[in-house]
Amino acid sequence: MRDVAIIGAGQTKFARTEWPLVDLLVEGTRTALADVRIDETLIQSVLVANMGAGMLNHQSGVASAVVDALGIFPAHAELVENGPASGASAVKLGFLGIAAGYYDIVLVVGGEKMRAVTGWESTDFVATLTHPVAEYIYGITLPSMAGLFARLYMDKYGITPEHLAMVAIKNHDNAMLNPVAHIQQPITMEGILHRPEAVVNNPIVADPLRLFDCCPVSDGAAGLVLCAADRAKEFCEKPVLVAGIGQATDTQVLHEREDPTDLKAVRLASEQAFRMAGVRPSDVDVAELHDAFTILEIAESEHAGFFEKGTGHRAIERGETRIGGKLPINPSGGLKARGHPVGATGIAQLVELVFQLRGDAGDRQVKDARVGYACNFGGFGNNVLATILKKG
Amino acid sequence: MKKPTAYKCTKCGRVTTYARLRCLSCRNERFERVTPAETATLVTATEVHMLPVGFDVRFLRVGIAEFPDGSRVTGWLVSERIPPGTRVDVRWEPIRERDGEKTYGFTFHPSG
Amino acid sequence: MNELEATLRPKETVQPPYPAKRIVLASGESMIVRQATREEVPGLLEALEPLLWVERDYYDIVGARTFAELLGWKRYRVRDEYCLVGILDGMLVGLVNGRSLSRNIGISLHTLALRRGLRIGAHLFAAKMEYHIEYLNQKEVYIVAESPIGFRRWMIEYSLEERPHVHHELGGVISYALTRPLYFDSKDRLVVGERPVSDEMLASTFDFEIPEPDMLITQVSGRPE
Repeated sequence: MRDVAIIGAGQTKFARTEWPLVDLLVEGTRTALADVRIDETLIQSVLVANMGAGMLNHQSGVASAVVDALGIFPAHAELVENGPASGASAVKLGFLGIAAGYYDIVLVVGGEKMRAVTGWESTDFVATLTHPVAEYIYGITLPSMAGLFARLYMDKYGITPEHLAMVAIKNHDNAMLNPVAHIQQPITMEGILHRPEAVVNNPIVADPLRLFDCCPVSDGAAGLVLCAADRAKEFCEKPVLVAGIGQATDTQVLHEREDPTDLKAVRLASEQAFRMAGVRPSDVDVAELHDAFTILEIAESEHAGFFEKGTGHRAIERGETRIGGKLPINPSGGLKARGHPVGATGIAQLVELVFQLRGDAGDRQVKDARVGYACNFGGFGNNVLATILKKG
Repeated sequence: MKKPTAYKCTKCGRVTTYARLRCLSCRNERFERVTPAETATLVTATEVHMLPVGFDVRFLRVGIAEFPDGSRVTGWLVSERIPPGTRVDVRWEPIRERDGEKTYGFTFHPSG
Repeated sequence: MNELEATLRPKETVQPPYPAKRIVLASGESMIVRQATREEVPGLLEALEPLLWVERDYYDIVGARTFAELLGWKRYRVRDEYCLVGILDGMLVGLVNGRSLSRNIGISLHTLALRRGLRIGAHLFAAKMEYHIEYLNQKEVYIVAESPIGFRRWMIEYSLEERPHVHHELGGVISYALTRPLYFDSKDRLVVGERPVSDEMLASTFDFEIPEPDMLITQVSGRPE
């Protein structure tokens, strides 16, 4: 397989926007293209990561529409849908196309316009990931799956609401340093948990998870330009290598898992990615984890191999996952505060890692970052991708 | 009274409480229909306040329960909050009405 | 006041004031909720003006109607109306208004949060209900929603009762009522805050600033920056 590099990266500000979906995706591509000096006619393929174009935005053929908007015919174009892991899946497919020698340059963009509908319609849309008979009919949603998981995980390992709040507070603080983050609002333990006002400030969503344990509903897009590594320096000074990609699936229905607290797919995907990259978890300098719910940042950090099972919350207590700590996690603000336009997320995680590995992350720069890891968690952990990037 | 149907793999005996093409354990495609037990143990539960379209109530309690044969089921917890490990009676009841048709599902009620 | 003006002004009931309270928000900052004065209405109208053209989430209709209600109150053309404001660090962050239909029945008019992400609307709506039930001692408050979000928030969250015979002045749809029993059932999880507010803190809420129009519109409707 050929080596593959990322030569351009960018994202829109995640927020609620009036822009139509295709315009949003095109803006995502433009942020990535603006980051690299490339003749756009060299782009051979455009992969679009998106989950909701049909259901939320009444659109199909979105990838073709993006090529049309960019005017880069006759580039190949496909839509990649893998739920919340659409972004990392699109990157994987772009990587494979170049590694196999079929392409030299692939543009990958992910985006979502979630705020086209009301909050409960977007909740319902994401809930279509669940099993229609075994789960969906009961009103099971992703927050409720996270609540079921969190109850078990917290009881098993002695994780407290304060530990979850620490994750949220850290990620909100990080997002204050990220100009494209959706939520730029510091929060405090006092305000979200300890004061009597917390019952209104931070109401239950799916207990034990509260409002500030859950990511917002965001619109946004993010893009990457992938290139054969042996050509990367033609286009940019600081290419970042895609060193390892792993993926694994697990049962769709949460109750069918042998141990519902075991994020097996995270573990297997991470092991595969580390093997391919020739590094270990201890070699990772910065990580972007899929914290759609605060409990998932803790659980994923353990299943990826960064901390022993049941000790991730201790690492947060000790400040190890802050910027400046032993292993900064979600310096971008994570899904929690950077935001979660579903199709964009996996790509936005890698955009952040690219900036970190290049030394271009500004006030949230992790010192001497050379190896980055991202976990993109599809469904409720039934389709997970782990991606490892290395400084070029 | 309507009874629920579960599906037991004819090869390895794994039971699922919804129809599947293939067994999750051995990929066998043949199942015999069985009736699930009427009691189970609550594994985990949550009170959900952010509900999707079609639910105009303030919250729902959903849970996962485990039957004596080890198979599990997701359903509604019809009670005040009860801790994991509690024995529950499992019923098959109308839980929703969609387009004029009743939809049946599993509900959990504290035993005794 | 001349005789004609006296004829045009409704006879007002003397209403007990709403005692100010302090609410600590998720950010750790303190929002003071207090009653607004008629003299403050021009500032409130200026704050509302940019919303009159924001269609998203029905800000236009809510903004326009609230504008008219406050103007009507200021110019003595509405009976027994009040307005509560939320002030955070000297900045207006939200307002609610309502009026008394009778000694026993209140009318909830509007709820507007000018800053999102801190549940300011939820706090101010609860303060409004607190005023009607606990300070005006009313038996029930009539409420309608103008947006789907408002409907889900208030009608479902408070388990309001339907009042099909009541035509609420804001709409032709079924009205809902928050009754005293419903209020006290929900109070623990919906109504918060500390009293009294120190004189110094209260004084800091007068001469409040209003949000910059562009920032306000971006906050509420998410225009790309």
